[in-house]
Amino acid sequence: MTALRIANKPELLARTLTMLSETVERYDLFADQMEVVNNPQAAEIFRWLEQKQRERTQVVQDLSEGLALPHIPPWDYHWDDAINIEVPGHASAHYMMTPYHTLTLAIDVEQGAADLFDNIERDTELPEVRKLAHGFAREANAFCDYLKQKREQYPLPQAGWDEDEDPPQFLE
Amino acid sequence: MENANSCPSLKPNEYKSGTKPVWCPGCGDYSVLLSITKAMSELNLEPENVALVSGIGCSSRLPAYLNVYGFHAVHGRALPVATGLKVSRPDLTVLAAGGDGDGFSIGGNHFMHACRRNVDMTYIVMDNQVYGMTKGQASPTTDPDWDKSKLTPGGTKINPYYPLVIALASGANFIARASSTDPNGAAKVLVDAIRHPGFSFVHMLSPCVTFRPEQKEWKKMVRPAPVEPTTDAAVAAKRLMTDDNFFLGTLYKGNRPAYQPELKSTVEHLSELEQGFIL
Amino acid sequence: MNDSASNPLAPPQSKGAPRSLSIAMLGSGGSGVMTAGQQLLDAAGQAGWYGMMTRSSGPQIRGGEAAALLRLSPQPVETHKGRFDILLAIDWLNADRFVGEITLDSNSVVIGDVGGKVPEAISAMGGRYMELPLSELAKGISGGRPNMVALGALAQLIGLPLEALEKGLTKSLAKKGEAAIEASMAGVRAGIEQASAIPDIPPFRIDANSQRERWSITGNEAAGLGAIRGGVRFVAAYPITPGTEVLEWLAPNLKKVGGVLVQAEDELASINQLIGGSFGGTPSLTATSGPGLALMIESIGLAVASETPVVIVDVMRGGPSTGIPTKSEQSDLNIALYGLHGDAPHIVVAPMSIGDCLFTTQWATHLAETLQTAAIVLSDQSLGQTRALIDRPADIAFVSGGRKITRQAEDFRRYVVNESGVSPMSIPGTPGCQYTADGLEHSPTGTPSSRAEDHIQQLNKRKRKLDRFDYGSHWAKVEGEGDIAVLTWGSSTGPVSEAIDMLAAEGRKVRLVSMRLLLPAQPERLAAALAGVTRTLVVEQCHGAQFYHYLRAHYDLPGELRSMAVPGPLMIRPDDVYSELKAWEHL
Ligand SMILES: Cc1ncc(C[n+]2csc(CCOP(=O)(O)OP(=O)(O)O)c2C)c(N)n1
Ligand code: SF4
Ligand SMILES: [Mg+2]
Repeated sequence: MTALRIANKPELLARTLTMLSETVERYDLFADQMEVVNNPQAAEIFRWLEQKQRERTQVVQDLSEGLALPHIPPWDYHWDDAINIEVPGHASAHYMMTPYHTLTLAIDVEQGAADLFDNIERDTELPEVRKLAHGFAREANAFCDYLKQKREQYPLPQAGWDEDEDPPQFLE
Repeated sequence: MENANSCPSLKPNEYKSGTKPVWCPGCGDYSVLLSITKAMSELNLEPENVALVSGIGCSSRLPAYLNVYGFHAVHGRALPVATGLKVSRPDLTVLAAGGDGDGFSIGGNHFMHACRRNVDMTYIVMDNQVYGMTKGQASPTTDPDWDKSKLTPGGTKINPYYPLVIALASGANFIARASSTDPNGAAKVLVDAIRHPGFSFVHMLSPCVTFRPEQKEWKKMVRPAPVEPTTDAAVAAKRLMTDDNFFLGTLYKGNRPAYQPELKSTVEHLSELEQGFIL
Repeated sequence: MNDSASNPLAPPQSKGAPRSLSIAMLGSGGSGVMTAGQQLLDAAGQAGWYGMMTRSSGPQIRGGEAAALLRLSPQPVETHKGRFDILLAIDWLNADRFVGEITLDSNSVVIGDVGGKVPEAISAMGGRYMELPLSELAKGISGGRPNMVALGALAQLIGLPLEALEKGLTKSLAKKGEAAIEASMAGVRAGIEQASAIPDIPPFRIDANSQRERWSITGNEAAGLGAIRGGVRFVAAYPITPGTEVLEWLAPNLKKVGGVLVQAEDELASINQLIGGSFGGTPSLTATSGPGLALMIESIGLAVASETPVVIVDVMRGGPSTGIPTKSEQSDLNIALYGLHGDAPHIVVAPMSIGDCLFTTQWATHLAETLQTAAIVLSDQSLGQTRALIDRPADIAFVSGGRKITRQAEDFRRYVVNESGVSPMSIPGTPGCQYTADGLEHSPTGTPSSRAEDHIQQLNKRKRKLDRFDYGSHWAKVEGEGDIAVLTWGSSTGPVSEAIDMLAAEGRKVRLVSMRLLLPAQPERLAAALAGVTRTLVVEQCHGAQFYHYLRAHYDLPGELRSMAVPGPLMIRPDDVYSELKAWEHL
């Protein structure tokens, strides 16, 4: 939704909710993926991210209470599955990813979200939209900083972190 | 907001089954799964009235991850299973899905005949130009010089197959390309494909991160086709013959009526069929 | 010459082989022997007789030599005899190719057109030869044809009433119009007149014995009707000789009952289309022959593993490979029983007569639906393509216990492991019961699984449901008593049964066991059927003795065992079985 002008507050809420809930789903999926491939460290962080994201979604949900939100079809969102702006892209997951990668992915997502809300705030003429976008941007930035801090606990991945000595499985 | 549904009654997520996929993290097929759920939500389909049939391959694992009726058949046979289902149950929304090996190699004959028969269904081929499930052999869409498979040292040296051209020549009624790198755009293509009567073919680029890691670059190569869907097969033929495999969107929309025999009994009692045997 | 010994159609004095009359009509390229044969059979039916007609021909698509082989009788007949009473040839071109199929003796009558030359191989067999001016008489009639003159002559010789012929001809030529009917009837009358002038021909006469409704049907048509009676409403198929007529009959008739036949691109497609149709809740069937069955095998395994009911009618022909497409053999038994990869319990059944193709196909549909599995029906060319006059087969309604559910069910698990082994199967459209059918081994919910526990549970379940089912008396035909038995199946039943009747007429008792249900094997039932037997002859039309080996693998058979395994293309005749039995210990 980068280049979009927001028509009103319900539209901003609707878009934000879609974005957040898709992020919740993606973290949930990533956590599942990491469980399936036996990468518990990454799985744990994705679960934690999912939980955090759920709480944030709930906040926006509460803000929307009583408002009729428009339905916006998926193709009105211009997300790229290969990179992590606003929502994490499927392509970012790797079965050997480390906690550092995991948090970097989330940081990119939050940065993308914060940039987006900044743009909306800048471009809109509607005071209530501006106010809301400002709040969302601030919140995303704050979360982003928090993630960066959290990432410091983890070592930088070594070169060759994704090398697997065993070949893939033959199936079916 | 073209084609928007005023209010889908189920969210995309509600079309998922809860079974955890076995795909490699990063595989394009996850995104295809998401696009399908988005399309079904937009179309307001009731999960019990949808059936998704697949063959064998990584991509063919799809049905188990959805909360619709599913059939995970044998390698290459998704289309005939889907055909039998749709012809005998025209009330259902029928989708078929699978990989490039499944659809263009072992199931190649069915692909041609499904296009020709034009039964109202949507066929999604997740093309990663490789046999993912069996550890990375060349498929009909693999480039001739791709030499990473032990089975074809030095590459296949055989030109790849152009599925969209074949679909058009065989009579498919709707031809489009989508990419897992753009799941929202893919959802749009799928909505149009499912709505369009007759046989709809969606060529879905879906990278295999394990055997074709270089396909991660596809995200930079795909772009919307700078054209409107045409109903003219001659225009479409030219378009598809000069296509570089990375144009996305609906490329051809035919207007042939779908094949659907009427299923209406005209006899009161089965004994009427016996008249011909009585001397 | 009016005593019963010289009159094959006189009512039988004692239990024995049916009194009957065998007639062969030969002719090549456009001579119309098949049409004339068909007319003769229809007329016999109109007159209240029973009978059958088999077509035999050379490899040419048009213009080849052809033979219509008929057997007529006051009683139902299920097999041909080797010996023919009358051989009528419109011409003799290439007629010696039929020598193996047609035996003549000194009591046979051989009729040819004036000036024709009987091939040595035929005249050597004996028989009284006489000539009739078939073509000359036909020439004298506008639109007349020698085959109709021949038809009239034969009708006269066997005492078939003119009205019966007229009824049949009027019915079958209705579309061609009055003139055609008149021309044919004129030919027929000329033939009758000519034949009545022949001196010294034995009067092959009988009285019409019954006015009951008589059907004229082939095994292939009967299989089609059995399918529809069994509830089949979806058929997908690829044409192949000699199975195609099942499809030809089904296509228009399915349409009438709200079903459909789809001509698929190949057999891989047809079997998989059935699986799709059946998954949608519609009973589905296909018909094919050996090569088609071979192509379908992988997906028959899918039907077994995914527990999707399907019925495959294999009208067997000579094999291997393309083999002898127009001739019968029982040599697909092994592939039907054992062709599937993995442990894949399924149903194999075989009709034992033309009329039984109806019952057995209907039963197969019932079994497939009830047990949610694949059922293979082993018919063959001789049953499928022979036309018989039979009594109307009874209506049979099976109570299907298929456990298909169309309303939301609590805790639905498609492959739940239960005592009967038959799990509930929800039909798409049923809310809350969505599942994915899978050919991968799966857990009770259908989720793919490679765990040992799931595999053994599902293997047991798929076997148990077939083992626990009560197949009742339909599993076999068991007749007669005595310490000698003949064990057979499918189309070999006809000749075996008649050989046993021939022996019975001589006061020799022989037991008949013909197995309709081949898989799952029924060892206890067979043991009971053979109780007290000391010698068993196993009869089958197959070079490799596949049935014999199957019996050895699955059953404990009492006493001495002997195999009579005869390959096609020549059919086993009652005389062959009779001689085999006689020869064994001078019975
Ligand atoms: C009859 C048969 N032959 C071969 C196989 C092995 N097999 C399984 S999947 C597959 C190829 C899958 O490739 P594709 O359809 O492109 O799917 P992908 O895994 O790439 O998504 C093969 C050859 C099989 N399962 N069945
Ligand atoms: S092997 Fe390739 S196609 Fe298969 S799941 Fe992994 S990434 Fe996807
Ligand atoms: Mg592939």
